[in-house]
This record gives sequence, C-alpha cells and structure tokens, in this order.
Amino acid sequence: MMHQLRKITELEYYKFRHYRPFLIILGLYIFCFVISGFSIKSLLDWFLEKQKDDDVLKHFLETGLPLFDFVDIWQNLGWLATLFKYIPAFVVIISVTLEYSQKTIKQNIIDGLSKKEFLLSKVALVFAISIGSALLLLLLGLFLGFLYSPVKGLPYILENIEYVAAYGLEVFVFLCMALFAAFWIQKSGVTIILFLLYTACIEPIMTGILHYKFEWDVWYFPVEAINLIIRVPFQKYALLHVEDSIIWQDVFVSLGWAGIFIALSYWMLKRRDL
Amino acid sequence: MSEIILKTEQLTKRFSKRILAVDGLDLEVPRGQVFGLLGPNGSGKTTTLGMILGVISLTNGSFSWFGEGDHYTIRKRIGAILEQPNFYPFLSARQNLVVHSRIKDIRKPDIDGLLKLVGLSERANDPFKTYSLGMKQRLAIASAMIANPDVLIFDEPTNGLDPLGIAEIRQLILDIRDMNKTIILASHLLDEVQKVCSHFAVLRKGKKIYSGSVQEALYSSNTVSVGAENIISLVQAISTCPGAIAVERDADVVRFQVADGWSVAAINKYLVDHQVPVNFIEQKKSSLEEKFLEILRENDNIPSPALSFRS
Repeated sequence: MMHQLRKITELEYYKFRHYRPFLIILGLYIFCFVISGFSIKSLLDWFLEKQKDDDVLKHFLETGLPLFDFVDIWQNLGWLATLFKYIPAFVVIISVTLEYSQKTIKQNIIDGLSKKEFLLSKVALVFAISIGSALLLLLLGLFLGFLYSPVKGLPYILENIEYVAAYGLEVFVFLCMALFAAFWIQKSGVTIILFLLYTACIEPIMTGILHYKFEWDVWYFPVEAINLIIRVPFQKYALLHVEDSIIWQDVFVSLGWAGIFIALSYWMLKRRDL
Repeated sequence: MSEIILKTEQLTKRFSKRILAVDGLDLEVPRGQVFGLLGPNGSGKTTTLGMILGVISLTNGSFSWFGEGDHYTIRKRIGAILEQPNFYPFLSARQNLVVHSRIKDIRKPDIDGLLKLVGLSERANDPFKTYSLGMKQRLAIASAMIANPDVLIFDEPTNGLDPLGIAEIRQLILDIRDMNKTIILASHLLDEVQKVCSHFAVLRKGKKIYSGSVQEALYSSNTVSVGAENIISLVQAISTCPGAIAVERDADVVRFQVADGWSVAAINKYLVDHQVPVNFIEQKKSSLEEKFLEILRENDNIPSPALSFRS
C-alpha cells in the first residue's frame, strides 16, 4: 500500500515537473495569493476613506480594519484565498484532459497501471495542491499577522488556526469536482468552460432560486457546500452576526461531495474503453 | 519449449448493435514465435490487441497471459504499443522513458542502452514533440523494451513511415526477434508479415479465417501457370481436371492451384492424356499476398472468373 502510494505520487511528479504551463499557472496562483494579501489592506483603507461619513465604519478610520489581526486573520485570509481556487482547478483539469488528448492514459494502462492507480495518481496531485495551498495560507497569515497584528502571542496565533485546514479542505473538494469534470468530459477547453459555467453561474442561480423563491432550506449543492466551509467574515465589521467557527456539518457535506466526485470519476474511468 | 505466451478463447467485442468488431476469436501464441495478426483495415486487429492489453473491455470470452490470467500487473511484463506512439509531448525521450519505467516498477532502467539500441542517443534530451514520426516509433520500441519483457506487441509499426524508416523499424524488430523475444505484430501489410513473422493469423470482420506458419502458407499454395496453342481446349481440360483448383484465365495462360494429392507432373500427364499439347508450364511459389487473397476469396465464397466459366 505504501509502495503503491509512493509510486503513483512519484509518477505524477515525473510526468509534470517539466511541464512549463503547469509551473507557470501554479506560480500565478502563488503570486495572486501573495499580492492579494498585500494589496487588500490598502484597498480597504482607501474604501474606508471614501466612506468616512458612514457611522458604523468611521471608527475604523484611525485604526484601519482589523483584517490581519490574529484570531481574525485566518478566517479573513482563508475566505479571500478561496477566490483563487479556480487556478489550481485548471491545473487539475489540464493534467487529466492532457492524458486523454495525448492518449498517454491509454499507454499508462497498457504499460501496467490499473485504472484505479491512475485515478489515485490524480487524487495525489489534488491532495498535494491542497496541502500546498494550506501551507501557503499558513505562511502568508503568519507573515501578515506579524506585520500588522497588534497582538502576537502564541494563544492568539493558534486560535482559529483550523481555518488553515478548512482552506485545504475547501481546495481539495473543489479540485475533486474539477477532477470529475475532466474525467467526464475529457476535452480541456469544453471542460474548463462547463466547469466555470456550472460553478460560477448555473449552481448559484439554481440555488438562489431554490432558496429565495421556494424557500428551500437545504444547503447541500456542491459549490455552495464548498463555499460554506469558510463563511464570509466581513459583515462583522459592520456589526452583523457572522459565524466565526467552522461548522462540522459543512465539513461533512463537503467531504461527502469529495467522496462522490472521486467515486464518479472512478466509475467513468472504469466504464469507458480508452 | 512449447510454453503458451498468449491464449484467447472466444474473444468477442461488440461496440454496438451493428458493429461486431471481434467475433469469437481463438488465438494461441507459443513462446518464441513472431506472430503476425494480418487483416485489412477495420478487421479487428487493434480492437483485439486493445482487449488483451486492458484498454478495451471484453463483451465475451477470455484471455490469459503466460497461463496466469488477465490481471493488470501481468502487463508490466509485456512491452506494447497500440496505434501511434503515445508520449508526453513536453518531456524528452529520456524523461518519457523514466515515466514508463516507474509504471513498470523498474528502479534502474538501462535508458542509455535502449536509446542506443533504437538510435536516439543524440536526440535523447529533446522534447518528444520535436521528433519525426520515425523517431517517435523508435522511441515507442525503446519504451516497449524497457522492462526487458518476454513478449512485445507492435501495432502497425511502420504505418506512415518513408521507405528508409520502414526498413529501419523492420530491422529493429528482427534484431529484437533475435534476442529470443516473442513478438505479436499486427499489420495490414502482407509483405511485412512475410518478411518478419514466423506464424500468422488472418482476421476478417473480426473472425479468424486462417492461421498457420508463414512457411507452410508460402509452400502450400503452389500456383501453376500453363500455356498452350489452343487456349480454349486447355481451359476446358484444366476445368475438368480434379487436380487443378481456383482456375483463372489470362489472355494466353491459365493459372491454377495444385490440389492436395496432385503434383504438377500428374497434371501435365492429365493434359497430355486429354490431347492438349502444352507449350509452357511453370510452377511458382506464391507470395503471401496471393495466399492472402486466396484466403479472403475462399472465405467470401466469391467464385473466380474461370470457375464460373466451368458451370
């Protein structure tokens, strides 16, 4: 088992370590991450300057929004970073569809890989990107926190640090969804367009109608479930109530989706001839 | 050694209601053979190879490698290329071979030796996408050899190559044959099968319609050409002779196959007895191409022109 895990991870590494588009896209991901961390503060300060007559917000004028104060920082950064999860999703889609367009998946199977091992090698890629994303968030959070936070004690740093893991989970489930889309559709362009269309338009509109028109109270659709892991934190600065801890139900629903997407990918792969 | 490398039983693939690609195929390839799978395009060669290599599911039947079954790990001991060479275009020959060796659980592959064998040493570090078709085929052969497998499978290895490339690939396959490997070669080129293979099977519409050794096929189909002053009476005499089958008539010669139990001399005597003086008689060993056409004709039950002349 360990041997198998090591093999498929190595395999994925050997396949793509020299693929420049991958390295560029992943570099872009890190760049977006870092640049947003650094620029969002000045952007918000500028925004506050504009809103100086607002009663609720004006007391932040002297101090600035406590965006990067420890305790708050993990949820804030985590939520900001979720915007960028599309970038690694494209990496995953390309890595799978490329194997189809170049027929290397077929050659892999002929050479003696099982379809299950092939799928697991892609899940390994997804897992590695998720871990990397969580680490990136951790590093950026620590850096910005030490730069801006008025409190720097270890208990403050560690409080709410579970949002780092939550971010990793969010990326993982989202990438599993991308993985399934790629195994299903197999063509890179079509997959990317349909994936964008579904995650950014179709599902939000559909759930919007269900929630507001039919007063449907269930939050189980995949994109929605993924986005709920880290809830929007910013209304609290306008003194609204915000969920500031991770809800287990969100975690389980998302994990359920990850399982479903991986199982569906396997089913697709198993059922089709190459 | 009569160890069986590959055995298929009633191998069947139905893609849809109308398309039956492979139909109840029984094959047996013993160790050491160079086995040709011969058939026109669309006869089910690639589908057959796809099934025994695990990329196409079976509708019916079974197959077994080395007498051990069809588990995917057995494929690590087989070197195979289906249709075109499929590699990661952005990786070099060397890096592609590393990927292949990892799949086959080869820790220390002899990559330099393989690249030398196929003559790719100089371009080993250039990306695969910059290679010519001939180089791609040669890399494919190198990758098939990476685990030092007992059996190699090539599917139309010379397809699309220029004459020089074809000669190079064939020589490479012969070199590999001389390393005591079992080879399964799918091809629609009779000439290729004749030059490379020791045994062959003919597929048509997914059915096996002939199998045997290449040598036997070449000798078994002795074509005889006969010429005479009076071609009409010659044709009539030949047509009634039980020793002559598949009679065909050209402008001034009659061609036929010698039936079992008959010899050319006996047929000559038969003609003399029927008062047909022969001024020309020649026995010629057929090429596999003639044999192939003959097999196809027998299978289709298309009467040859001269046979219809008889009735």
